[in-house]
Amino acid sequence: MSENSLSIKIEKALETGLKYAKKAGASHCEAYGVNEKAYNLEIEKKEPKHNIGIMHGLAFRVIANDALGFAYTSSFQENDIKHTINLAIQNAKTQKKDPDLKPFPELKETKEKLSLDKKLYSIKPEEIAEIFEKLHLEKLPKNIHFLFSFGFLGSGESFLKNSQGLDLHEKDAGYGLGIGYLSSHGYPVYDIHAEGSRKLGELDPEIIAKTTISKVLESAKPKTMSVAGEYPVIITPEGSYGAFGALFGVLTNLLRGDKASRGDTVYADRIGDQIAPENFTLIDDPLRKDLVTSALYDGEGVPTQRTKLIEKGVLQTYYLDSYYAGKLNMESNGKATRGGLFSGNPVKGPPRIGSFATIIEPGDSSVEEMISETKEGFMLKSFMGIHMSDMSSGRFAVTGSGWYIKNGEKRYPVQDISLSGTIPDLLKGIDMISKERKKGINNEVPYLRVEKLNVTAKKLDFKVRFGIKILKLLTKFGYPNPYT
Amino acid sequence: MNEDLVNNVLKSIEKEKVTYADIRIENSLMTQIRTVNKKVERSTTGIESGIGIRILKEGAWGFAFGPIDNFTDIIKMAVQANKLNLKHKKEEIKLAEIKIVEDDFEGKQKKKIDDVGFDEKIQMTFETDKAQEDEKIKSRTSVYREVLKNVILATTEGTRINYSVPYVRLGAISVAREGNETIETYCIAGHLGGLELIDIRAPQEIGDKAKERALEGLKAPKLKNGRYPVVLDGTINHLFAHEAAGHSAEADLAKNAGILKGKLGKRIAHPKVDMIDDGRLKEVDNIVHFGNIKYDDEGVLGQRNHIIRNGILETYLHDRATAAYFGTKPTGNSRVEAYNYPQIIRMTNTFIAPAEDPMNHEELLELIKNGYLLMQGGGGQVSPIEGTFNFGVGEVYEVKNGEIGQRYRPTTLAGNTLETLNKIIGISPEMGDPLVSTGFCGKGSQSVPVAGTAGWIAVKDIVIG
Repeated sequence: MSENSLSIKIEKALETGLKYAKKAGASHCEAYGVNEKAYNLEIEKKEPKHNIGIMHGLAFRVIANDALGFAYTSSFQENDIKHTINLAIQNAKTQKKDPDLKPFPELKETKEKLSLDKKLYSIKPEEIAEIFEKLHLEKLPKNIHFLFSFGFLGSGESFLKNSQGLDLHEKDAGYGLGIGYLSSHGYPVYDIHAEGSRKLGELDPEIIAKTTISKVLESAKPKTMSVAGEYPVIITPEGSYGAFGALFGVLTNLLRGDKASRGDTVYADRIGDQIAPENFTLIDDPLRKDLVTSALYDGEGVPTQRTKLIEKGVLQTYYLDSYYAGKLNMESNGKATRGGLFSGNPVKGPPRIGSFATIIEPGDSSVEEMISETKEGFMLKSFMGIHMSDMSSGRFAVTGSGWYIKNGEKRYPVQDISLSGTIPDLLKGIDMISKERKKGINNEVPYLRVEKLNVTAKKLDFKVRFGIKILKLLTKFGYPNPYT
Repeated sequence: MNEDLVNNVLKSIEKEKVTYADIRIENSLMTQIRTVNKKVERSTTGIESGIGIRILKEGAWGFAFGPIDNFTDIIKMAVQANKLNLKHKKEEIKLAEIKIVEDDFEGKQKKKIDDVGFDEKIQMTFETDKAQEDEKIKSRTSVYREVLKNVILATTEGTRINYSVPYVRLGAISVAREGNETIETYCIAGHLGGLELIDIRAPQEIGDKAKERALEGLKAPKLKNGRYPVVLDGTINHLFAHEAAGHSAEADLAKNAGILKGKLGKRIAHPKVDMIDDGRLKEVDNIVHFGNIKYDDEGVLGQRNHIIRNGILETYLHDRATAAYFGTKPTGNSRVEAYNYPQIIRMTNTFIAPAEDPMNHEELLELIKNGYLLMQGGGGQVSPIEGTFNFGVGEVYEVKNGEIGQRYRPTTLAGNTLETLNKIIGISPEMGDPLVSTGFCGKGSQSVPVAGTAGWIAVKDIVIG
């Protein structure tokens, strides 16, 4: 069976589901299906771990007895589809009537277009492998070791239909490449760099590899230090919204409309308040077509839009889907997400509120000025422990790595720097925003300097530092380095 | 077992002249209910159905997945994946010998999840919700999750395992607020089994505990960040053993990098330390631990492995390929989340136990004399290459002259794995509550159930906050 015939099967299954839902007692039904071919390429040290798969499935949301129900299946058997609809209806009927519930959105046309590269649909596995191979440089600088590399290529289509007549058939395709290197200059550290695109050939694997090497060299030979107190901290674009260990994921949570509607965030009932400095503007822009997370419609078929969440420091709105927009007497701004290309099988859960592509407007300082105007502080680039943050108050206590700044100069890389505070205080404390921005997989953001943040760190024990020195000596004489 | 289907798939694979292949055919059922402030925010029921095919050919793997009906396409994709892997192959993959198994089994359920209606399950989350009610609790979340995994594992070597294993988990998250102060705490219980879970641990009890942690935490003062002597409870024992030390002992990492690479047979911890991963951890009060497995996903029996014995690294955790690489036996740690993932090395129930000189909890408190008792570990993150970790802590108490004193606000602890393993100065053998420390460990985008609440441990010093 070809991938095309699988799509036909999915479309039929969705129609079957919609018809059956009506018969089975649902007042409204929404049917979603996905058929996506995914190439996952991965090499960890010497081991290739490539695999190929068809991500497939059907998801149904129904309104029955004035309540919402959801169920999904990855089986296309008619009996299983009917069983899934029955489960969704049963799910709805066991819930309380919800007076805020409205029918699923009707179709609103959008003039926007997403240009998809047809080559991503017809590419052969060996051609993908060829692009991926170019990530692996033959010669590496001294003490820099290859750790892992990964590539992803997804191409497929999704179908969204509902009983309000909405009938969307969307195609989506993109690819991404990334690589990690480890430095054994002193205490081992590693860094990763990844990029994504919707246009085959747009990513330069060699540049991605070289960017990673320069990142890891910049962080090489880190020191641990003993500090406790308040210091200015510059958060790099990777540190705020990067793909690995980004602190501002907490802010995205605090600005979710569902949390605002429940009073479950410090920003509930705060629209119109100054919550950040006047030069801070935060935007979610799903129509940034150069970013691989761009989309024309959100997960429930509402056209997406460029939304200013915080403008000149003032809270303008929340991330909203149609239900919570209704509860807050606002309009949906198309922020219902279903995951997709880069985030697992989208049929496994109902649409949920989230961001597509984060943009922060540039400021008027240069990164150089931000550093030179820091008497003593840190520039931090990635954090551990973000998922343990309090997603209501925005309280965080994370461990980061980056650089120590003294008398306006980046002195040396540091690690094991513990940072604590709350996102609302951090936002208010931003005193410098860089002109320079970096583009990530789903964002484009500047460097942000926070006037003061609580920093704690403890120098590694003498025994461990001594051990590293001995190890370094031994490796010079051919003893294998366990870290590489 | 759908023998015709299994035989057809294997027969088609054999035409590809593979050295070895395994197939996993899955048709699992999943239900999740999430209520917030007594309203169902998200309820999901689903059928996970598909096939995962892994072939070994010319010393390289090839894995592919997709709909069961499309198995001929999936085999072709597995062959394509194998060709891609061959292009980048640096070393030959060999598999350690294992016993061929034929088995058909069902996990125990005293109260079958199928026999309890959806409305009753929602009611359970509402009971958890009600127990959290308090004027200072601004948000009450209750989460119920049940999975009935129905899987057929078949290999070209002749292994045929057909199993049906249920697990159930119920949790509560309370957010308390007063003025500008907000605190979020949780309580979770889970096991491998059916709805008898709620007879053992009532939903009200789970909600009550989350609420109590939030309200007490809100009242409590903040602890000054710093490095202190500590006693860690059984949940943090598990968290540390799993996150900080266990991941570094997974042979797929350890053969290439990480803090335990090249350290087999060497002292890496205080001589009092044993670290164990036990896939068949003995039931406590008939409760089957969340990380238990009868077989791993290569058909190897789940077993008790001493990763560290008397402070010495005794073994890594292996699948068949890494066992062959290291010239040892598989340890029963090859696991997958579902049909659409390839097998990777994962832990089961992991914890630190005393190798010698076991102490009870009171003795541990006396040992540190002045410091902090940290309880209810929650969430964790680790860099196994750099050997650093960061964990959440739900309950913090001062220890003064060996006695438990004032309570402090929930916080985090951070440290270096090898440094901390060497700073463990006392360990209790008293295994903790088997229903808590039930989590889903994430690795390679997959999550599998793990557990292992063990005894308390005393650490000379660690960074808190």
